[in-house]
Amino acid sequence: MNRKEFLFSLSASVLAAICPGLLLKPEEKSLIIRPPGAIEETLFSQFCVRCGQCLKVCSANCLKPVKIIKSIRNWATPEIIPRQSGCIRCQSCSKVCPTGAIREVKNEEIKIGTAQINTQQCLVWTHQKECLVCLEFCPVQAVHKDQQDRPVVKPEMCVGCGLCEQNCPVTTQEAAIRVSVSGEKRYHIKENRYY
Amino acid sequence: MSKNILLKGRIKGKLVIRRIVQATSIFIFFFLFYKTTVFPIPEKLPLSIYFKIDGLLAISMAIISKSFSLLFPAIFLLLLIMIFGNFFCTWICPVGGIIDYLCTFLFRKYWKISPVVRGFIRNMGIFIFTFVIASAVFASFFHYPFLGFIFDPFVIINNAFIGLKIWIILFACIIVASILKPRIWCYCICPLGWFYTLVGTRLRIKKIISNIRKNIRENL
Repeated sequence: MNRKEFLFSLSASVLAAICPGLLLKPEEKSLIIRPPGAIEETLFSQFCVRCGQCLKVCSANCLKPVKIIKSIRNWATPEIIPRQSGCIRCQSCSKVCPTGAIREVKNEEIKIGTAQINTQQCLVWTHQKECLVCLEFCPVQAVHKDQQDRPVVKPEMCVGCGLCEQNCPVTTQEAAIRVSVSGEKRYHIKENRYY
Repeated sequence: MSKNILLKGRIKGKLVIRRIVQATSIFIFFFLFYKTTVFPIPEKLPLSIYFKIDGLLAISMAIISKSFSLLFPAIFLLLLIMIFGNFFCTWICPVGGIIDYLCTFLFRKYWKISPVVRGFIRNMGIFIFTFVIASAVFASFFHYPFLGFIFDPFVIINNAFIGLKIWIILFACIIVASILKPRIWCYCICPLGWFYTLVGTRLRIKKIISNIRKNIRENL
């Protein structure tokens, strides 16, 4: 290889590294539900090397790679799809993450998101049928009954594990109870804190 | 004559030892791979050791995080490579081992490639290696996405065996490309291999010294 070829390769690679950055702006907040102990969103796609260790180790099989059509920047990073499987908060993913994109946190501090009931789809709220599956499956008793025996979520208690969404018997693609990233906690590297 | 037989025997012996070490490394890789799929995971086992000793990932992460804490397991291997030369690719790398074993069974004959193609592939290797480093630098200072993982051999093999389609295709391409030249991926493209070759200067220094000695002898 001569000097000309080397310089050409060098400049081409620098250009190739710049282009995706110009096209893909960092997201402060995304709709992707991350595993417990995940670092802040702006840094996550940089720290995650898509090694697949977390996907492999997840005993509940709730971690899936983000599809390229959903987010190019976050392609192949781990996300929780609660409708398919909820998180059991074993934190195995944080134990195997080689780069520290997912960190181990205290189990009682975990908050992945918050569940919300879609009252227009819920069997109890709309059809006055007897169903309290979400209440039964909630591991932290964040779902309780109101005075008319309808399920209600206490957002401050909900950890966003998604077990309620996974087991919701509503047969449409979307469950009557859905987890969103609102209220999620992230590990902030600079402050070295999970909040 | 006897010297030649002795040399041939020594080379063959070295190859046998190399194959045994490679097989052990492949076994360890798949053993750890299996162990990460059982619950509860054994906490005493270093399940992500191959990713932690990956020098290029460690350097990239050190650049991105601007801290050296993620470098530590990889530094040990880097020091060994500095002292003994790049032994990792030929002796330990499970990807290289798998390619070696598969090539022994799959490909008996190799295609002849022109020097132009070979030169192009080598240029691609430099392009990929500098791309990984540049990507880490831009990720660190301008919050650009880090894309250097795409060509990391451990990321490719791990995701391929998990069953993710793109990585399976990439891994299959690596294997099939070996028909051009045995381990063409390792020698020409793999950015980790490039990095270890740059770091492992022992053989190069040895060659330089022998050249100097030869020149001195000729001048005398």
